[in-house]
Amino acid sequence: MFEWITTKLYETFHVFFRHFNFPCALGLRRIGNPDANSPVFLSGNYTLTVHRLMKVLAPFDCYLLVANSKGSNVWCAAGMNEYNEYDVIDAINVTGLKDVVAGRRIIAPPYAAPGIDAEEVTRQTGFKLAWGPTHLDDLPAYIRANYRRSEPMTLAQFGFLDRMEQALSTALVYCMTLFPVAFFYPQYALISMGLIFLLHLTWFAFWDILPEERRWAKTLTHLGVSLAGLAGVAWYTRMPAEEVGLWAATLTAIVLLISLDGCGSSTIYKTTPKRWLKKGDYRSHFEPIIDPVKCTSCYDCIYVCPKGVLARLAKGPAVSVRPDQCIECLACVKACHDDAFYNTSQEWKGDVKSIAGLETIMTRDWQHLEAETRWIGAPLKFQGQTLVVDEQALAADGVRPVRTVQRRPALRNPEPKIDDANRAEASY
Amino acid sequence: MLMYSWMVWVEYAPERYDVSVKLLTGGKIDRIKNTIASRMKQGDQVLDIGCGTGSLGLKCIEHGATVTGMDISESMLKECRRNIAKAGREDRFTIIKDSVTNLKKHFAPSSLDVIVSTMVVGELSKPYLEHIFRECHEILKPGGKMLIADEVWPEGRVSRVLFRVVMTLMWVPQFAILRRAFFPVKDLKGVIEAAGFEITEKKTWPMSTFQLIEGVKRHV
Repeated sequence: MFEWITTKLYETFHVFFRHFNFPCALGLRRIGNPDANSPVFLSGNYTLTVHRLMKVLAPFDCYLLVANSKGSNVWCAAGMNEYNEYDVIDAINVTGLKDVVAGRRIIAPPYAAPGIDAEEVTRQTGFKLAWGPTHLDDLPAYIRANYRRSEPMTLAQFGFLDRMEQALSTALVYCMTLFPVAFFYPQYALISMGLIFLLHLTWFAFWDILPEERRWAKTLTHLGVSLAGLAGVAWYTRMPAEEVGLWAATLTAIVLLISLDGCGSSTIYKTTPKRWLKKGDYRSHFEPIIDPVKCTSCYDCIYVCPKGVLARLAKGPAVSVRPDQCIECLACVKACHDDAFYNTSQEWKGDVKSIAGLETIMTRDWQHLEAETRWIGAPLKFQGQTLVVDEQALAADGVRPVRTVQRRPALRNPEPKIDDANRAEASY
Repeated sequence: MLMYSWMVWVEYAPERYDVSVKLLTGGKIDRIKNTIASRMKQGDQVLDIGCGTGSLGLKCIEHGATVTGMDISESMLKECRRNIAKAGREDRFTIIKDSVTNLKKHFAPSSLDVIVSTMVVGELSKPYLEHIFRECHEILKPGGKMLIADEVWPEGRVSRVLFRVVMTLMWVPQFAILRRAFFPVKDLKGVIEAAGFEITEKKTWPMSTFQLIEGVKRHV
């Protein structure tokens, strides 16, 4: 009982402080009674994730390889280039994994894919990274399905509990920022903190009920409902007009803050405040398009995409089918061995630091790929662990209107991608 | 938004790194690097683990050494290359971009005179250090030296408590400037000794948690 309470307190603390780094010990964890044939799972050294992984994996005999993500979650660390192929290679070298297990497969979290050059890991250590389910709760089902992912397992989800955790942890950060104000205006600051928590909870609890963010629809609905609530309270308590004005302004500020925070680099949406202010949606800048001549059909980009943006043709290369869903994690660009990715929008956010020569890839001319936009919006099916363009349904559709993509001129002349900078190399 | 401003911050980090570290250590880092560089002999083959912006390596070159710097951060290495070019030492400073756990891939056994490293081991955990120092011992020539300087946990009980308090207070500014949580090493000397080195010197500075440890590989 006591242990149960301390565990719950520990978890609650870490949920509230999710925005902070909490590094835990690195190395190889043994779960159950693993032997040389047991599976190996990869993780970063973020305390809460490792704690949950140990819990989820408890019924299985396996190894958990904790590589150094500097105490951040793998998604943020990978994008920041703080969890890259070298961290995985280090962990494999130091733990002597080669002598521990007979197999040469490590099941890796797809959220780490934007940072890890899986090919380099294989080249240097012989271990192959297999991308597992996106969410760790899916791990038992994944193992029982003989290490095969179903379609939902490959996608970034944002379930109710995940959203609540997001709400609490983000609200806490803003309350901490507001804390100094409490010394001067204690009442105002405390009520505002309460409102920050409340509005974060409503925003994320009613996430699916509120309309999708197109032309600020979600934000405006949220703001409208909040102000209506305030009006109700004001009417009931006979609040003086200037006080109503103050709270209306505070509410509006908090709602805007929450919406702007949505422009951040999450696994659900990623845009810039500038774009959100201009267009009122959370779509990312990057819109991938693949050169079918360069693509060698390894489909590594499809395996790492957490949004179902890419699919393969039944017999042929990977194609971009839902570029509007892209969250610009650039895992596909990182995974591509063939330098086949182009960007139709010519714009990018630039928060991913793990790819060398990114500017060239994002801004080179894609005129020769105009025809490839025909796959956008094509019907799909999930087959053999990847999305496949359903060419039968496509043919039944008859002639589909060609989707027009607004062409923007390339910002600069195409230059060769300098991908060698990312590899181990001796210079000078 | 929160994340966004954070990311923007990071972008500027490498250029500011040297200055930031100087600020954080109160200028001590330069003195420590000078002390290390002064131990070099003419013609020494030196490996700088985690060379960063190359400041220590360039100081060693001034004392007659030939340096190989190892780091994995492309942005740091870019800064490093710029510094090398500025000093005109391209002929004596080689850069290897690879992980420090791969030392044996790049260096033959008994091929180096000196291995140096500052403010790197604090980022690594004990099993990593054991692995790296074991490999260092292999690639050093008999009689070769290893000089490691880093923040360590103080040994006295009172200073330990004081240190913990200061670390807690410093955590936020340190995190803001360096984007890294630093973990001072406990028993650095013990880890180096365990790898087979004979400790010939342990230098501390007054009012500082920095420690310089010199280990020598005896003939085996």
